[in-house]
Amino acid sequence: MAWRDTRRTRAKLALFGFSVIFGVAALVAVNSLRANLEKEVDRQSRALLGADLEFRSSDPFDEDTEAFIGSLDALDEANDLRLSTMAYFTSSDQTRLVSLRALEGGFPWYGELETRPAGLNLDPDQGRVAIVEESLKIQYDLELGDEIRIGQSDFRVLGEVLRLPGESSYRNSFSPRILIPYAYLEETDLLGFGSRTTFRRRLVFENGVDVDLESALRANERQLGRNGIRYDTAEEEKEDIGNMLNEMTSYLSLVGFVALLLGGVGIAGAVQVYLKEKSASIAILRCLGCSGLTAMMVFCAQIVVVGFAGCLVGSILGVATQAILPQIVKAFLPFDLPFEIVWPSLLEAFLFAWALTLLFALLPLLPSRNLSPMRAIRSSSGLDGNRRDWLVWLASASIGSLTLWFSILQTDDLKEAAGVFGGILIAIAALAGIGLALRKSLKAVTPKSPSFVWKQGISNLYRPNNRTVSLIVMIGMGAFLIYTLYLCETSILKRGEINDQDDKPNTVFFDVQSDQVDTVKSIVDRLGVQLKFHDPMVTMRLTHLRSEPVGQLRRNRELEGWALSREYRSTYRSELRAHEPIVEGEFVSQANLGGNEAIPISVEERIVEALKLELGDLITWDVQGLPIETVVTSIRKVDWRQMQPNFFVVFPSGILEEAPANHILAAKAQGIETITALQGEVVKTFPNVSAINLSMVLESLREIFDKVGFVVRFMASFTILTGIVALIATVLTSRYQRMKESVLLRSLGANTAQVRKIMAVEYFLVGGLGSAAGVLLSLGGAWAMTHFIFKIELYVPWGITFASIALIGFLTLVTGMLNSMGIAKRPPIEALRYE
Amino acid sequence: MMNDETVLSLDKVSKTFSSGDRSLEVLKQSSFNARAGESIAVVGPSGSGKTTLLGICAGLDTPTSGEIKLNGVSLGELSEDQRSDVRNRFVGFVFQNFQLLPTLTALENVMVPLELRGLGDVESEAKDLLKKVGLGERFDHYPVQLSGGEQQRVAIARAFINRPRILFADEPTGNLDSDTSHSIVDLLFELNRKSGTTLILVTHDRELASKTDRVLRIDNGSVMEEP
Repeated sequence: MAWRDTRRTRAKLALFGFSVIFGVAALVAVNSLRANLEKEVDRQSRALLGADLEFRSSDPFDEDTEAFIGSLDALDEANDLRLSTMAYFTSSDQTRLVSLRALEGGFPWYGELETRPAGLNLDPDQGRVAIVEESLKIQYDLELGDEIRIGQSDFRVLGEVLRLPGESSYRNSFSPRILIPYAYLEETDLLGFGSRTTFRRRLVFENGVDVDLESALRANERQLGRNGIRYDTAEEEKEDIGNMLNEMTSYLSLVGFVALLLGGVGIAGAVQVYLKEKSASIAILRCLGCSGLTAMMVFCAQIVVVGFAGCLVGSILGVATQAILPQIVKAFLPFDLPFEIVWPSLLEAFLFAWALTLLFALLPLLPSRNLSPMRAIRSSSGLDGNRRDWLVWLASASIGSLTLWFSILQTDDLKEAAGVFGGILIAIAALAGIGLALRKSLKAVTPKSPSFVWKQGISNLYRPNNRTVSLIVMIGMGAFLIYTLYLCETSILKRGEINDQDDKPNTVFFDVQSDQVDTVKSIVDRLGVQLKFHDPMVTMRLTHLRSEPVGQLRRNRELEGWALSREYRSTYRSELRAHEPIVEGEFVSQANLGGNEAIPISVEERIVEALKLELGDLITWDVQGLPIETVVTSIRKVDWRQMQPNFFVVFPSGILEEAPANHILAAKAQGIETITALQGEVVKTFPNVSAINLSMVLESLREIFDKVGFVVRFMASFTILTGIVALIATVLTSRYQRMKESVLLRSLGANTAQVRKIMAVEYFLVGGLGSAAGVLLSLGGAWAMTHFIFKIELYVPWGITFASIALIGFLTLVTGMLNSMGIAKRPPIEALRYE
Repeated sequence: MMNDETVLSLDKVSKTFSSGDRSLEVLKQSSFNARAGESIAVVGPSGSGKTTLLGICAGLDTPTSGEIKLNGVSLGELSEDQRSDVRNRFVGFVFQNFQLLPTLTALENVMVPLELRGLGDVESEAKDLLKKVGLGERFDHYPVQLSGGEQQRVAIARAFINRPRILFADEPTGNLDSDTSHSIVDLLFELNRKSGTTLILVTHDRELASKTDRVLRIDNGSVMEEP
């Protein structure tokens, strides 16, 4: 019976299945990718670090540490020194900030250094050679054999580095890598004062990190920490990378899950419309003696099969997507990921999706078993009574439990899962609420006598069996996901936006030593460039806050850890600048060290929030060995978007002048050629000085956002596709009703254009309301992201915002109209034939 | 109110439906005229072509051959949208199954024909008509909130709002009980008389047919006048 009943509605039924395809595809793809990644991380656990054990420090290893490392009985060991510095590309006469890696020894012992040409190494016998990041080769048009000057030495380009064990490529966007042999590092003369250097020592052991080694490490952990040494084992690296990948796939999987949930909502709506049309058949079956449950099972069987088919097609699409996903997330992976179908996770995702689909379909299906047989005689007869249907409640509860269970699986944490579950519910409820409110307000503001086309188009949003709210939720969710990310991206880029006004600097030199300042200034002068700022920078650490030692304060959860332990780079001045106005207190311009009183300092708002500071609070600093007690006398608001050296703490003149300092000089050069010339001359004269060209920084920022944005957009597109399929399903399922209306209007004298316009108004409004709801919600989402996570101000480009709403409305309109083709042209004679 | 002006004329109208290799001639060379204010019943067995004839007369469908003039306009020369305009200006319809727009209230349904023409401020006229058909208290009710008889009254009010020259009614009492049928028929004829509209109705009901000025019988595709 179930099969026979589908004769005239198979195409329609197939569409219900389509509603879940993209959600299932996303879920299967991400679940399989996750399982694939887990397997690969396990397989490559040692290659992730390239060694068994790694020590690192920002200072050269002290004698105690060297002695400890020596006692570990390693098979082999290797040094790796990392340093941010300028490189001068002789062939193109340009300079750029790079991440220099000086490597030695047999590293990597596990995995390999991937290069082009393949098989390159840094054997010191080859002389001064360098292997450079691929992007550098392209940017500076480097040929094999070209020279690069780093510090005082020239290095010959051997080839490109494609991958180093444990590193993913997106991290190198800001500062591309140049690898040189460790033996020639000294000749660069870069290991001087002020260099930001990381020293790494990597070791390999006969049996990896065994129990003895682990206990030795644990026993010395405290001592190592005191000496500023941190260490990682291959196992820890595996866990770290595993956690990072887990977070990434959890996020992707949640986006896919949202698509599946929306598909579920879509299928529930479609089934409801389908059953309305089938109510006469159900009533006839009941008149013929069929029980309510059996009648329901006829249609339930159809949905089970259709759901299975939808999930099957979705799974196949998911597997195809899984093959593409590693290419998309490649930049974030520290290894190449071979494509492999992980059957258990594929099956798990399939069964989960199928179960969820059926549960959603049961919501409208269950009440149909109570349909009155009187419906066969009188079409106005409905359900038997108004009693509460406990089976519907059970199905709803099952959907809730399944969603919560899935969230727990994704996050491995009940609290987080509840947050995710609640978040999804709130987002969907908010979208539905916004959709309802917008719909209602639209009704209220509709003038009494607009054109008939508008009135009819709007009233169609209230049409019996309309799917307005569920469509708004689906389209809105897609718009919400994509636009939230866009707003975050825009806000961050806005924060660092080049201010091209004449008085703003665009080139910044840092690591300038005290005895180099005058020469740099004279170069700046000679090239006709305007020097904008010169700030000395003194490094210091916080030792006491309100007379309490930092060690104790770390236990105070109200204070942010980073603000307690960071190395502060503070400056001293006799006046503040225009972009850092005082919001509280008074700036003291001059002080001296002689007295017993605490030195008055000015602090920035962000640090006030992190350390819960108030005017009058005492802070003791360790200024390179010298304790200095200070008191907060003013709080500044700094506009971080200004491309100027900005400081958390500003001292008055007369205190830090004698302390060893680094200097930052910021200049405004006209045109890229002057910037290049200035940068080149300063760096050639003082190789230790680094220069930043702001436009390049922005370019790198954009590059990272492009990569992240693409991944998010890719996943969010599944939600959008679900929305489109749901829209098509809605249009097609209500096609009969639209046709009826269309021919009736035609018989009353409406022309084809009027009928088309009515449909156009309806689709445009559904799309417009959906995108308006999603975009409105994304303003809240983006505000929360920028406020709590990025801690920056939200920037909303209103023009683009409104344009996006209109664009989504337009796309919905096109989709709707394409699927309504032919309706407006139906011959009006049919009005006489419809029953 | 009847006069000699011809509102509708059919001249040798035929209609053939084709399905694959087979064709079925539903109307054969049919001709007749309808004068202003006249009431005509079209009767005949099921499947005889009554509804087809009605559709062709109203410009809802086109004949295979022959000519139809409605209010002096030859429908054969018009496009579908031009025929829509003719229907909107000169024709009213009452359907067996009422055919109200479910998303509009009774009042809004009645206003539709004039609104389609782009006329504003038609509410008072629609209200007057609804009052005339006895639905003065039902302006804001949706079709589902109305009984069958009430829905047909709304449909009648809608049919008369554009002061049609001719009104076509397809089995107007087919879905109603006998009491309601009587009141609907009375209403239809009363409005027909008062407004001078030509009334052409398709019916199985001999009693109803006997109330009209003329009866056309359709049999085997041919239209014949009953004595």
